[in-house]
Amino acid sequence: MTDHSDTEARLRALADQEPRPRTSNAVLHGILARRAAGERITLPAAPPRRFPVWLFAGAAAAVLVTLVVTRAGREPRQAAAPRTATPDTTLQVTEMGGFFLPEPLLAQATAEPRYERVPASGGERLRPGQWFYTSPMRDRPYLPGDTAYGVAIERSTWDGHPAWLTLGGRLLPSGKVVWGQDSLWLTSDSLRPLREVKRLGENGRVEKTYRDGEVLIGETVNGYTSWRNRPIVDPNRNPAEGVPVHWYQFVATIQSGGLSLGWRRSLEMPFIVRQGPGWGYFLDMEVVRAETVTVPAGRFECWKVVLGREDQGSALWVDQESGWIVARSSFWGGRERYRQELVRGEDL
Amino acid sequence: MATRPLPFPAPALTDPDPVPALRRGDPDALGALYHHHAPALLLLARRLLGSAAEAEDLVQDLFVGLPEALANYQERGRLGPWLRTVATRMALMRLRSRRTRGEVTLGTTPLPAAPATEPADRMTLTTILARLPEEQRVVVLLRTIEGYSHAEVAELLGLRRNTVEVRYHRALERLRDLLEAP
Repeated sequence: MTDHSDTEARLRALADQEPRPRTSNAVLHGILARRAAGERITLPAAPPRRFPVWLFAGAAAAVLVTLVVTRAGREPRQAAAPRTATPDTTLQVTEMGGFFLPEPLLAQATAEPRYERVPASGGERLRPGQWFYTSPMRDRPYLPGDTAYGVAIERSTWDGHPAWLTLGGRLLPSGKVVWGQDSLWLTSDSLRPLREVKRLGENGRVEKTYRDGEVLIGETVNGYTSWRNRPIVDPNRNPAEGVPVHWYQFVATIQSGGLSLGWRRSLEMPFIVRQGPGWGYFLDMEVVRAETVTVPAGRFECWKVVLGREDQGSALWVDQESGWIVARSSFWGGRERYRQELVRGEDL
Repeated sequence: MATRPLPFPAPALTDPDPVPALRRGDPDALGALYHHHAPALLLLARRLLGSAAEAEDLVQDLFVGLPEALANYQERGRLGPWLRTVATRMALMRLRSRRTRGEVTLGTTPLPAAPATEPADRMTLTTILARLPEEQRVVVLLRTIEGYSHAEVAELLGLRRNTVEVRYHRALERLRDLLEAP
């Protein structure tokens, strides 16, 4: 084994030389204020417990729930939510979700628009349906029988108000769909988050309920739940952060139709993306050509929409007839990095 | 809600055994501990998470939860290392959570990697480690800076020891090249 002692010594020397951040009385005030308000957080003071694999397998077999999706006759799902919540409040959160890996697309965000600015669409343009895609992490072509990953978008209610509900799920080789723990409720018009439940590691979950300027967060890890209230806007952080946002605003815009050859728009995304020294607010998009693409779900006549450049950027193929996002890929460093293709799609 | 004004400058950490006062949530004890240990904890969290804003969040959460977490603390005179261990576990939980969600956490301020043209002697540890993939960065930090053994790192990360050793070896090879670059 190579002797790395010199490198290790240099790293330790660099560690010792690096100036330490300064503390702030304002931050300490915040800590004491949170404790005085009754906030308590469970810290991981002990190593995480590790359970044998057979225990997980047995538990999964005992509690497996499979939802068979049908096109009609489904009741909207209702979230158990505090009655004091107010939908469509001016919330300031940053959150990402959805069935794409958003990072490669967001890498194209620019600080200034290149084309005509258009606002990201709201909930009136989102369409109910479910779409499953090939995994972006695979290193071989998709084969029938591979698991596909996707999302369902449904009309729902929350606290008695209309809302959108999105669920993350997997399409198994048998054709059945298994819905996971990831659920997100959005306001019906502006697509701002209302409540979110996500899996956290192997045996944990986090629940967030957004209301009137604060978020109630419950984290469950190894059977222990800690709760805390956080103001959604933290004055100690960049005040531009925490702008109302959701990824589905982008999806709603793309799927709402109106694309044509030569269409160019700078989609105004109300979130912040750090890009080098600046911040990106716009996704500059252009329809570069019509292409016929064949994906596991079939053959589609698409518009190819490019963000950035074709050789260093991201591309979406949008079905001209349905508006579905049929495929997505991202290129940088001279090669394709991510690619996802539609395996099954269905409007609801 | 009113809070007492804090003394300035912050009180020195003179109490040889501040744990009982900390367990009671005494603001002065908490404040003294914060000013004494938070700089090192912030640096540790920043290096692990790759984000200054997330590091601030983590350290704040640590001190909010500290009095209750000390209920079972038994080691006398080793509060600093214990705090580093807790901070490390909190950071690893956040990294796991970030990977599980498969999302980009917007609104954080990722640390810039050292520019390729920056001479090695002007780099800081944080900027040079930012040039490593996350999985390698974490292993190097835990092993070389925090002093965990390969076996302990493997347990912390839920990996096989051999995996940790391979990642560590690759990371050190790359860092050696970066440090020796003209």
